[in-house]
Amino acid sequence: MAIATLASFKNSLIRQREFVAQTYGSQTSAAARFYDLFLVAPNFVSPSTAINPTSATDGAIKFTNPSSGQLSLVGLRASTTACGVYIFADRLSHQGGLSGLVTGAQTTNLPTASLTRFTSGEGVMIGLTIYAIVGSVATTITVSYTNSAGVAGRTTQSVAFGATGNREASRILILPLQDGDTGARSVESVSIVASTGTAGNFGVILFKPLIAVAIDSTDSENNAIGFLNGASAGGIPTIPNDACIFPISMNLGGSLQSAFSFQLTEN
Amino acid sequence: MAAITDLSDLINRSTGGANGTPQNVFYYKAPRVAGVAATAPITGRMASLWRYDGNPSGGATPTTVVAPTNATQGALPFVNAGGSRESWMTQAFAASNATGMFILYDRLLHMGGLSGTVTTAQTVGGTLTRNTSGSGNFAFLEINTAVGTTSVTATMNYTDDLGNTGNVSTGVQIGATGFREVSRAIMLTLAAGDTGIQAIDSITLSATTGTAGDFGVVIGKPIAYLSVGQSGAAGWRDFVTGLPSIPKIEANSCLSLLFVAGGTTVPELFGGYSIVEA
Repeated sequence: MAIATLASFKNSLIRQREFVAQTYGSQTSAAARFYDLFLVAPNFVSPSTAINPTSATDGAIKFTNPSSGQLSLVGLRASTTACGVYIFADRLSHQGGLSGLVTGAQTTNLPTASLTRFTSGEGVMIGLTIYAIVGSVATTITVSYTNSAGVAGRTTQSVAFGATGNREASRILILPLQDGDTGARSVESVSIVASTGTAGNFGVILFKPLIAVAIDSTDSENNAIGFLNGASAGGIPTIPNDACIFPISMNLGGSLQSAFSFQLTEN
Repeated sequence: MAAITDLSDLINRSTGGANGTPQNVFYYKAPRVAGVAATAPITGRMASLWRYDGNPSGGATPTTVVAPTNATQGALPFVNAGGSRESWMTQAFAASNATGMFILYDRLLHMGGLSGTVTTAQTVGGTLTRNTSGSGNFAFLEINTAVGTTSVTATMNYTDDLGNTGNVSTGVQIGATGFREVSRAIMLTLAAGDTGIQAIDSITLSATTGTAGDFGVVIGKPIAYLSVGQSGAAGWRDFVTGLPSIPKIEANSCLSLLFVAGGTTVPELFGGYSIVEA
């Protein structure tokens, strides 16, 4: 049910159902690149077979499903060494074990697991997360996927893969969809045009952004973000039961270490 | 149609009450067109991101004149309001590797197929289906295939927002480096005293650019200006606590992006917006 009044909203900020904190370990980041911070969460293990991660999966932000009604994110506080943008998304499906050496269609640990949240695939994005560095040779990559209308055999537009900026662990490459598409339900194969020179390890993730915030200070006292003080997109998002929430960062570069606190309310 | 009465009403609708049907939409634009690196922008000048790859996908090259909608390939998504309600944007956000200004706008009318070598009036026509008064509408030339290397002047013959026909815009440059490459957006300037556009009758070049290429014309209405001051940072608009306040998004709006470049980096963009019904 809705948060019906301003008073209820304020009350949810003061007496939130759950105040969840999560820290993300240190790494070096290049400016203006997307990073999958799932990899630097506590107890993270690289995925292999295709699964649907949940809030119980190591790396996810932990919360308890509501006993009734729904959970809403009413506020967020950030502490980070790297100012920039943090996108909190529901990690719907992921797998790993793909190689930067193999050309042509790779199907190891594919197709991706069928979606259990946002099952239509509308607005669901395809990412490639690099778990272990691939090679230094620049090539391009595409994936074959089923779109949000259920049409299989769709092919993403190609993007750069391998070489500096597109090879390092934690990088996430977001893939543009085939003309006319607005989301993805599953990925069936991944194809690189030429070997990058190193196998490494990368995998496919399907994710649905829930909220994006702009962090312009490394002082957490200045980074209390909510629906009514701007610097964000996503409104007052509903958090699906079991959602595997994780951050993607695009920042100004340098040392990246962060901690986030989430104010959730049951309504 | 009903007003958003107060902050309580807005919060209620933003969490699904009162048929608010909140939509929190996110999109991604890659710095590529059809899988190939997009043309580098020029500092201080405009680029059209209509055809940029992404999620949703890029738009197709326009041909005959049409009024595109939210169902047109390349439009940023949203669902029309139900019942007799209207759609209102409460937040807009854009993060990019490229500094500059992203302009979120409703692409009211577009066409392509104009030639860089024709010096007689080239017909545009078409009819607006949104913001039909023309007030505040802008128009720009959109390069789909590079035109020639000779610098010439383009003017448009148009109907202003008071319904006066036969107005002629002041000339703007097309052709030559910076004004000929794919994805360039060349804003057309109105005749003295005008503040909007209802229709464009034709586009006329003062001379040939030397190559036909393919360019078109777009009529749009701005919705949000999102300034990204640093590479890796975001620009955002909170329409609840900032001005201008909560713009209406007309049914069937074809949301798209223009980019005023702060440098020569091709923009990669992650953005979003929130819409509620009232």
